[in-house]
Amino acid sequence: MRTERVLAGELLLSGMATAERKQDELLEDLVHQHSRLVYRIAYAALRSHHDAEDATQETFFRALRFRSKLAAVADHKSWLARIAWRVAVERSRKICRKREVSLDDPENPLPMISAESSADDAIQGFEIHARLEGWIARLPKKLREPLILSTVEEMSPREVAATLGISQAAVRSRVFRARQVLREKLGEQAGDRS
Amino acid sequence: MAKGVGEEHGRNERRESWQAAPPQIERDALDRELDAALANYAAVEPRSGLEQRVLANLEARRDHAPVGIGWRWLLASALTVVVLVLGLSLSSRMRKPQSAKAIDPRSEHAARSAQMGNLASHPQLPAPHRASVKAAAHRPRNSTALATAVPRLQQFPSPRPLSEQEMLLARYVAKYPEHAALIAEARAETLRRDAAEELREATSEPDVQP
Repeated sequence: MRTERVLAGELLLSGMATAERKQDELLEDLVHQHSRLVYRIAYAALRSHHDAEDATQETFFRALRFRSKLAAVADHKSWLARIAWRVAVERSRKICRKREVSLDDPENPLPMISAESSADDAIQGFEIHARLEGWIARLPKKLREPLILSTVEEMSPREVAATLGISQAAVRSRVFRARQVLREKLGEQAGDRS
Repeated sequence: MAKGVGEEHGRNERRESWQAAPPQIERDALDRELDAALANYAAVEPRSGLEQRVLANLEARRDHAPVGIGWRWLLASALTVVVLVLGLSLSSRMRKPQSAKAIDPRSEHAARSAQMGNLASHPQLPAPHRASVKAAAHRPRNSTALATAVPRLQQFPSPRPLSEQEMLLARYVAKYPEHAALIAEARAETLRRDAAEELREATSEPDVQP
């Protein structure tokens, strides 16, 4: 009688151990497959290697917390991308590095490129990169978020839409508008150079 | 002077119209420039060994991580319910011999009256015993009052929503029917054996005569 009770309990426990082992293996696979994507998403939002790595770690900690539900997740990539984005946004709010300001913020004038530098130098060099960072940071949040997620090469418009919780059409139109703004800025800069 | 102002104004207008609608070649060049800049913006690689660091930290955290509302809660709830069921079955088995004597409230009252009468007719009984019998006769029967206050239902036990633990157990059974079946078989077998043992003891045990 007692043996059977113990046997039933052991069966229950062994089932539990098997399920936990499977969850751990699945989580490990996710780390191998998507840690780079998670890192890039985090970096796109935080613009700092240190913060991006911390956010990557936090993303997988959250996945670990919900490992019992991993098997039920249909699209692990989108799921992780959403978590990574949320973690990065929360972290960036904490850091207060990103501030939503208007494009023509008089308190934060954009740095000017010297007229002497050539166009090629400007594209390849540090200055254009810094300016682009500034322009993107000054984009309205509505345009900035789809744009920076769309720059992550592993992200399709569908995944960007799923991450932000908006439609694919909205993603495309917002990215288009953001690019328009940036193109105008580049055009102005080219005009100033010439 | 007027001509000079007019020329200046015309130049400004041309510049504005050029800025408003840049030609196709210019737009393509800007697009290429922008694409290159955005590619550069997003071109970032993590430091080497990111996966290993993440896995090592996960390993360290795993032991302390709460597993949502998963297995541990389910197991704890299942065990609690099993213990409850065992307790209930044992207590009902112990009550059975008592319940065989059906208690009719009227007969109980008659018995009490008779007892009181006996008490009156037997003054030789010790005082404490008499007092306890009197107290028993006059003790308010709260349980009966409570039982009558609750309306009698058609079905017993009365239907009520499943408790949280019962729902968890039901979910467990739905998710792992094999385990549940094994446990149920083991439990049924245990009950059968217990009943057989009791029966054997009851038949083999000699009646104890006073």
